[in-house]
Amino acid sequence: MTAPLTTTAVPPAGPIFPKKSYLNDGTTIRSWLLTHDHKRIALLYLVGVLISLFLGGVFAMVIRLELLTPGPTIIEALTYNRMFTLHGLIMVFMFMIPSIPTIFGNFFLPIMLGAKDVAFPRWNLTSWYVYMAGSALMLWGLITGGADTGWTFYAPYSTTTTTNITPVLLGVFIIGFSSILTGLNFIVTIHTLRAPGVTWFKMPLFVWSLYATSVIQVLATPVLGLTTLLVSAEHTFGFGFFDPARGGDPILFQHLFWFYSHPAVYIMVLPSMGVISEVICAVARKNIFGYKMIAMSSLGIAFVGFFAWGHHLFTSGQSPFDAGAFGAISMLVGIFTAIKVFNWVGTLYKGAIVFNAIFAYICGFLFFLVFGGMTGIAVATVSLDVHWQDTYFVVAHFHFVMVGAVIMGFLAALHYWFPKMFGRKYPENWALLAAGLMILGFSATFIPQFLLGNAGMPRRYYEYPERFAALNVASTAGASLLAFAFIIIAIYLAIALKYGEVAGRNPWGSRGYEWDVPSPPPTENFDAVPVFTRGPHEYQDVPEDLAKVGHAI
Amino acid sequence: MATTTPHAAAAHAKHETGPGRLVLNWLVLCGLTFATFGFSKLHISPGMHLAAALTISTVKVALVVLIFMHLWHGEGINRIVFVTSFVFLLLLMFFVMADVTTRFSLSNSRIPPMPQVDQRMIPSGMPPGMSNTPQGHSGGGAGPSSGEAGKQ
Amino acid sequence: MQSSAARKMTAEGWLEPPPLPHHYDTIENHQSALRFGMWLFLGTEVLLFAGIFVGYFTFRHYFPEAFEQSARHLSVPLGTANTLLLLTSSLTVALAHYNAEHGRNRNAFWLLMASVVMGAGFLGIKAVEYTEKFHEGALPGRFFSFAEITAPGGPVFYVVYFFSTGLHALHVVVGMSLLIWVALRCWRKEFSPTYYAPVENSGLYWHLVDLVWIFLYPLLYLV
Repeated sequence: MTAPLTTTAVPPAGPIFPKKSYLNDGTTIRSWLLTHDHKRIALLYLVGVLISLFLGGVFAMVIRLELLTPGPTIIEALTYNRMFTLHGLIMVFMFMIPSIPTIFGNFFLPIMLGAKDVAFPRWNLTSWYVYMAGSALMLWGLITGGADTGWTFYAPYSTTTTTNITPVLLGVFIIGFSSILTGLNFIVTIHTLRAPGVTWFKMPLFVWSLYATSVIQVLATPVLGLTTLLVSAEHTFGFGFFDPARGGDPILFQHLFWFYSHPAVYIMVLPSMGVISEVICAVARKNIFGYKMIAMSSLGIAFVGFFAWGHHLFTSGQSPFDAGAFGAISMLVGIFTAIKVFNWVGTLYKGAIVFNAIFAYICGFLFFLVFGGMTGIAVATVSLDVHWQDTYFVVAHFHFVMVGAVIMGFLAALHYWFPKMFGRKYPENWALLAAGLMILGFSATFIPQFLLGNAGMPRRYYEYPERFAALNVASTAGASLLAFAFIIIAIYLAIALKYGEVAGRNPWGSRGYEWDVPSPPPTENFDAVPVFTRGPHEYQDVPEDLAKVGHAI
Repeated sequence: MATTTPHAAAAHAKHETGPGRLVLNWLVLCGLTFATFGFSKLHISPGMHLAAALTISTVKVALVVLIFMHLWHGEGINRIVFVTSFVFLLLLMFFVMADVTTRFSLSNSRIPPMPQVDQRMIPSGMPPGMSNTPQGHSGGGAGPSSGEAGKQ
Repeated sequence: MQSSAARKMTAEGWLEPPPLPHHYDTIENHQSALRFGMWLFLGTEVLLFAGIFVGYFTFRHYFPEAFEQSARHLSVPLGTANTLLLLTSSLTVALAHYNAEHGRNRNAFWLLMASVVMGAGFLGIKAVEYTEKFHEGALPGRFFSFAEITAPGGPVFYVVYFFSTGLHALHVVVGMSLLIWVALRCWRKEFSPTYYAPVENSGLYWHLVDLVWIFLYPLLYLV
């Protein structure tokens, strides 16, 4: 009698890529373009947003190349005006405002709450179509007519210019609608679709930041909508709302425009801060320091941010009373940001930090946010702003917070959640190199601009005096390095999509709720309502245990 | 048709806004409309007219919102949403009006003054004595060709 | 939009409610979410009109005499009629919601159509007023040629007037479209005590249109 053949079970070689996930649940174009799945909609947005980032970057490079020499370099003056208008409009409305909420918010908000989708999935899909349509209209208007007003389209220039700005403004109006729909969807989702046990103070901090962002989107964007309509009407019909010759008031335009556009910068920065709260715990392997303070400060920024818009009007001719009031209030926002920075640093303290690309982005974020934020407090001082208004100092300030803080957060999110969204890992060495180059390139681009602005170089100028040449060349060199870093990132991420190492459910060992589902997740997220047995960002004193999520892998 | 289903009965008990109350609300609203009209006929200062009109309008809006739109018996979060949007409307109104009313505090007139142009600053080529008032400019016109654009 | 084709008629005389979306746990939660979403949208509409009201008060501060004179040339009877039309249509919409909530679809249909008719009446009166303005030359901005406004700022008043009433009229058209769509669904007996959200939400939009006019009427016509 032969002994029965026995084989010892061979453990699997590594993580297995799930056979069925949201990526292959329906492979036709129709199944993507008519999807209700929030994760697929997130990827649809990813495509649009990345194209926008690329386009905006191209126009930025054109600007920087033109500014290499004091006189004309590669383009003429009117084209230069069109370039910075294109750069601003694309970056603000097509990239920054949607970016993190529509991609990572759409993808992860329901999962983080234990829900199967957002509150109104069809409105979610609609918001993507609206975004694409508005963007197309705006771009078409910019390319054919070529607005040269700057992205802030101040009246009376915007209402009297011969360039055809009406399609551009209508495009902005339509994109605004998309923003409102997304914000509305998120607010209702957070209120009504939390799984049992996920109370308000057990939500991940990314969700808190999305909530604050959504409130701003819903309250502020309609005012922008009205402003674009007013300017279009005045440009087309000569109404005279903002034209002093007809009794109008140009400062009224500025009030209406900035009532949206200042809270808009918090729409851009708050989600990025939320991302940092998520990744910083994973990278330091520590509980978040001061969960409630960070959560509440998000709401604080959203609220106080609405009271500060007049700091864009300091030198425009508004009354001294308003200037003083807005100056004082603008400083208050710094308090909430400072609370967050102290809490993040407190999280890093005594953490077991892994120095990877994501940590590099966190470092870059903290540096750029603090530096940029402090210069924000500086320009909020009315007497100082008289010197810096409309110079490169302001340009450098807002690029530090917009590009510096927001893009650092965006890239951190992209790298942190890449394994979850696509099931594969990216090459860490290239990522770390690119992160380093990006931080260097960014600093080299914009630190010279602080010096330029303080020395008196005005913004949006096509030519400049000879004495500013050296710093401009330095800035352009930095911008080239920055562009190069972006290209490297694009290449290795594209390659990793297909050929990256399989990631498995939780390659970071993170305790975020979204890491309990497979990578990539199934369409339904969860088969049954999940039970999260740990708090958000809980690393210490809690043994690794999965949420009780049911699915057949 | 009698409301015999359990849900309808619960709804009826929950929403006390039956047709009777709705019609009553409507009558009050019509009455307030006539009150607004009547107030406007009184001989009082413009400021009082405005105050009275806004007060009555606010009451009417409150009645429509609370009763026709069921916010009185509805969920609290909806009340918060509506009130918040009004609060931010008032915020915008407050700061813009503060600007507009205090901008020319040293001048007698409320109308923004026309810009006074130093005659010596008029470029040569223009006949002497011609002033640079806004009516002299064409309303539209090509934008400047240099890099200068709107302020930030 | 849930297709009514797949839903069967119940014994009580209305179609069974559409299936609950897979990510909601109860019908109440879903209805609650729909209502909340609508209120958020109404909040955005309030802020859309906020800017034009700010413009009104700004220019009223600059040109008080012109605003007073122009208001006297607006027809108060027509404005009052419009106010009463909208208030009454709000009543019928609220009654339609009540009826739909109790499954009385035919009643709701007639009430909604009455609201639509009153909305059309509102637009008709506005058309009459606008035509009158065209003939008088009381037009915004560079088209202004109304000699009877002697104080400076006449053109600006009419910018505010046409823009605010025009934007409002646009919302009336949208509101009427919504009401007609919902009325058709009432005709198909789609609503019941467990499913009446479209009627409620369209009604809320219509009430908002009414709210805006409640403020516009005294500010423009009665100063």
